[in-house]
Amino acid sequence: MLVPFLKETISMAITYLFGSTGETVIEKGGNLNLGIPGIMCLGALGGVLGVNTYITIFSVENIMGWLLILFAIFGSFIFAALGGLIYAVLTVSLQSNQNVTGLALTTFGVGLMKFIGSNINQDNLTTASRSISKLFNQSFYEKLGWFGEIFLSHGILVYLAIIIAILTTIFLSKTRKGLFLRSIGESPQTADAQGLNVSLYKYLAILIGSGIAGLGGLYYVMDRSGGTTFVEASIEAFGWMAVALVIFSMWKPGIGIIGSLLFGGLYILPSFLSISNVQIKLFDMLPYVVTILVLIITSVINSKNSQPPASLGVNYYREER
Amino acid sequence: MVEDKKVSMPLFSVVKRDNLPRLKAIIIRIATFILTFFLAMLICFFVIKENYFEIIGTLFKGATVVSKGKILPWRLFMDTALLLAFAIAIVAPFKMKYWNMGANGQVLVGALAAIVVMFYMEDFAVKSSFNNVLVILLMLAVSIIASVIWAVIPALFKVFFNTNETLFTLMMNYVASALVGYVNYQLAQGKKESPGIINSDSEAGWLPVVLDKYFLPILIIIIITVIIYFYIKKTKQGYEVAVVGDSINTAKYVGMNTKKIIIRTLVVSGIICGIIGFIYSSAINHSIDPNTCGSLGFTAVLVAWLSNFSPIIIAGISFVLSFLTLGTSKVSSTYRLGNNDLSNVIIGLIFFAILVCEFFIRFKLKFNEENNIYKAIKKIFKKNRKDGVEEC
Amino acid sequence: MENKEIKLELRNISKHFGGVYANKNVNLNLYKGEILSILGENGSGKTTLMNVLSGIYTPDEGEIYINSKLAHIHSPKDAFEYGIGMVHQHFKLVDTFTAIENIILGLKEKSSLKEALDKASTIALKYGFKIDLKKKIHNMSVSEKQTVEIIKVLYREVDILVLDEPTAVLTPQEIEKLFNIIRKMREDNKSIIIITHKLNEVMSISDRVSILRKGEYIGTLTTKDTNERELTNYMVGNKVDLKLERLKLAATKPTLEIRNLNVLKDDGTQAIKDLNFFLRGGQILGVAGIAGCGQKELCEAIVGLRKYKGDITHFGESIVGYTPERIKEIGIRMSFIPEDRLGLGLAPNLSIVDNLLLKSYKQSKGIFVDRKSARQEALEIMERYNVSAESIDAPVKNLSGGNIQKILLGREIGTDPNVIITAYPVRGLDINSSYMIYDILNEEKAKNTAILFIGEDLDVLLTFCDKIMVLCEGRNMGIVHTKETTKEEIGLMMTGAKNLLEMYPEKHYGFASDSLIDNNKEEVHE
Repeated sequence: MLVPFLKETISMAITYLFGSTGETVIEKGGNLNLGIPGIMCLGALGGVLGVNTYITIFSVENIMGWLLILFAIFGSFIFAALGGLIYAVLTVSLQSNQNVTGLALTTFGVGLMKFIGSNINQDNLTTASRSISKLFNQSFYEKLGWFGEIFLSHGILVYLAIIIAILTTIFLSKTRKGLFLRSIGESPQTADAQGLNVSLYKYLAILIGSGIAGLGGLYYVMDRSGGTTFVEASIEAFGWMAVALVIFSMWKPGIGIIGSLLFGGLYILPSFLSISNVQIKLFDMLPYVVTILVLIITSVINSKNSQPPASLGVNYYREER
Repeated sequence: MVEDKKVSMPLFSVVKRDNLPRLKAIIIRIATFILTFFLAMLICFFVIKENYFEIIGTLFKGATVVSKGKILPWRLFMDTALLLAFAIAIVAPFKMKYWNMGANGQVLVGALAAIVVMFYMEDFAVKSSFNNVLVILLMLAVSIIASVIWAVIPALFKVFFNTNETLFTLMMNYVASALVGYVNYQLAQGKKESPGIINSDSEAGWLPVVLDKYFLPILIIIIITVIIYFYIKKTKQGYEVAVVGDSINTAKYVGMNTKKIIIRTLVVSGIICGIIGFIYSSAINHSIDPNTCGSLGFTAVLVAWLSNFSPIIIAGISFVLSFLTLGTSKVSSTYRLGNNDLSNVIIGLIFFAILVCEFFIRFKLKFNEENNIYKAIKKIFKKNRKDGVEEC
Repeated sequence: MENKEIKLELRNISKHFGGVYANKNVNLNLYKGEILSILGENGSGKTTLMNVLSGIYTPDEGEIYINSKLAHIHSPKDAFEYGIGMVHQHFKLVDTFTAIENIILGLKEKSSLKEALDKASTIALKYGFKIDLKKKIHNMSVSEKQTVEIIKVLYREVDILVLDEPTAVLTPQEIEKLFNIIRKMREDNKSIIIITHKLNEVMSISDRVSILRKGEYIGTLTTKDTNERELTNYMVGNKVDLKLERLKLAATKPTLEIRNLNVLKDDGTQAIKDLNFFLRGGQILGVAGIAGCGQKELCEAIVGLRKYKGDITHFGESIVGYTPERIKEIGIRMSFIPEDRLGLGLAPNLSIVDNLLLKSYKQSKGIFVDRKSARQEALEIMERYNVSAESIDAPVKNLSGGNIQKILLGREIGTDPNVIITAYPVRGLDINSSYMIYDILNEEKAKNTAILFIGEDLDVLLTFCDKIMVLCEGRNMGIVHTKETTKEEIGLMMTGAKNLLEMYPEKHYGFASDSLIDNNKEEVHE
């Protein structure tokens, strides 16, 4: 019972982890992107289209796992980054309100995934999903007992998510460029006066962060849901929780890994408990209630280490008086 | 050292505009909207590959469809009224920079409370028409109470602990959805997902039909809108909302109790959500499911923002968006596009375009005469003009 | 001086904001190895001009020449490339970073943090700065922050250094230290521009002085050939009588008595510690102190905006813990004219009418706001104080600083206060508006109003107030009569070098002899 539970927890956590890592990068540059749910949908859509392109070129019988996943990641990243580009142009260059722009992007992204995603051949996606959702041979990890089952039975995107989260932590806390990006989130006036190109950094943070978040959508559709595209409503909900997770993780993707495991565990918990269908309905609200509790607790504690970047949500216009 | 350095000249710099005349700004916005609409239709055209004007015609027909035996497009009116009501519900908190994303959830719990009363009091209501009125009033009351509670909880945490209300209210939407799912299951005694339409035979707790099923609900919403208009513009409470929204420190400085004002405003917001919930249960659906509100609460946030807090402009935008939504769903079904989410894509596009146009209302670009690209463009332009002169 | 080579030249620089010229055809040149003062009143366009030079603003017209060659400066980055570094008046530092992290911000070089630390320490040593480079900015004092700003610029090996009002936040002793450092830079053949509106500083530090007035360039003088009188005339234009009036009125009973006041800052550190003082009707008590040593918190505590420990009594009646609302309810007419006018005193996006309503909207009957009589009041105030605005429905943020202050003061005086708490009421105002404000305060004083005046210009405090209380890190260093003290003494008290409370404990500073609370202690010195 515990082994499948932990396995499923990790599997569920990855969607949140991609989303919150991406949003952390964006927020460190001073932009609060409420378009994350839309961007994750765009990422899912782009990934699905990438897979579809592969199948059109090579046919569904002839699947080379690594090439397929490259197509998927490429498509997903590009689509999500394009969504990010819309957001960046509007908020960084055109000074639009960040919340409004984000919401419009979510409306757009969720709508587009539903609109286009439904016209794609589901059978092909299901087949393709099988080679994306396993990195190691089943015979290999089964030999390793519970360890293999919990940690090595996943698809490549799971490991990629963890690697990206760790690399992002290192980038933000250890590198010079990470320091520069953080300075822009804290005080763009200062960064600008020091000769940093504020817009360039913001653009890059938004594009790359969106790309990372988009992989969360790809993962959910092509790995966790086994190729089903009718999941945009779920992705939207996960997107919001990923944004909440950024607050929980105090803008540190390393802590985000733990947070996403917590969220993931709670999400799948009801299906591991022996309860009636009616009670399951009640358990549906658990992850959201916990997210609310997390928001409340972090705001009540309100410690110095858990503060958002000082200029989060405020657009920067150099000649402001 | 630096003397010979070549510094690239930016093509243009962004300069704040001296205030643009209001009329001109409005014309720019409307023009942007119309332009985007035709562009969006062009995208549809490429997807559908039918006659461009026929598609637009289908959209207009779909939006203004009149059901049998009626003379007015009630559906369009009702959709407009609902979006209007959602936006009116959140506009006052919004003015205080309180991002209430939870209108969906607030309406949903209100509607749910009304449904429960309707379900359990059928026997009482059918005894006399007076009893029925009592039940309807009770439904309204419980709906308002439930919505107010749902709206005030995040506000309390915002006020006392500065908890992020955007995410809090979003999560409350999902909690409300789950609650609806659970109660529906209970009402159906665990046999089905939902009990379906409540009191379909007795029509107990149903709002009476005058002229049209939608007439009374629309009338109620119009009255609310007028009240809120005066509330924001003329009353002391509305004035306090404006001051808190503009500068919370100033509000404290002049002795306003800002915590009380924020919570009171959310109570007002909750009351309106409660009335909407009541309308859903008692007048429109007579049933409930987790997706009853669609994404209205969400679109309403965008509408309230673009309207610059003016109830009149909110009404205008609500009409246009409802028109588009109804129209595009007709386009989707006519040309078999599978589902009706075309409308969200188009609404998204229109919002992007309007945000771009807001930028040009606030700022202008000043081209740099020393930039090479600018010089080149100017040269071409000058040459053309000269040619033109010679032709004359 | 004449044979020196020109390092920097500004030609016909113009910049406007929303129809108002901040700079109009300004010309300026700067020699190698000199200190040039730019003198001008508040709002004369000094800072705008320097922001143009450092690439923050793009000028509408005009050219910049460096070493006699046309320079294209479109961003702060370009300015650094040309060797121009600016120390801004409002420090450009990231609070959550350490000093060294701030210093290396934006640098392309690949050096390690260790190498950067070494280089910065060398610079600090050379100029005699004492600073911990690994300390976080938010734990630093104002003068430490300024040191970081200067090291930051020197680190980039600039040869044109611009200092924007560097002395505003420093004590007289710290100013002298800074000036020595600036002179040392001149010896290194750097060119320094120092922006100020204080004449004595111009005379003591600069080689030449350029004067701006209302955005226009007036001229440049060699410092040793001029004097303060002449500079004033150039700076102000038409001759203004610089004499501030101090009304001498008969003492009345203490209006407000404050005992053992302790107030915390937002971050939980002590802002005000064990403070005793009192205000009398018809007297102006000045408060001197380095910026950020508890002035803001003191004001906010008195008017009920901030929690505190201690006693505050109004004519012997305790008002401890009262909110502004409650103070108003019990009929105390206290007016607060805060430092941050748009952020605290007014609602910037609301109209003049709505702003005038802020304190009185509740008085009308019914649920609706009575804008009709407010409009009338607005017109009266605009006429009485000579406020220029396009309409009474225009948002106040569109008005100039002087007009904004007049609206705020007009509203506050309109409530007929008997206590006025005011912080830096003339900050950012031109001379004429400033004098109008002083006049209004004197008129109120004549009506036996008790006034607490927090100031920054010691000359003004010494001529305008009756007594001065000096704060150092939130503690009272003593209360002195203005006619019996000197600027130097106040300077020493501001830094804590002189503490009258410790020197003369028997004098009971801050306790009124005719206190309405108790008569156990009294201020002998009164």
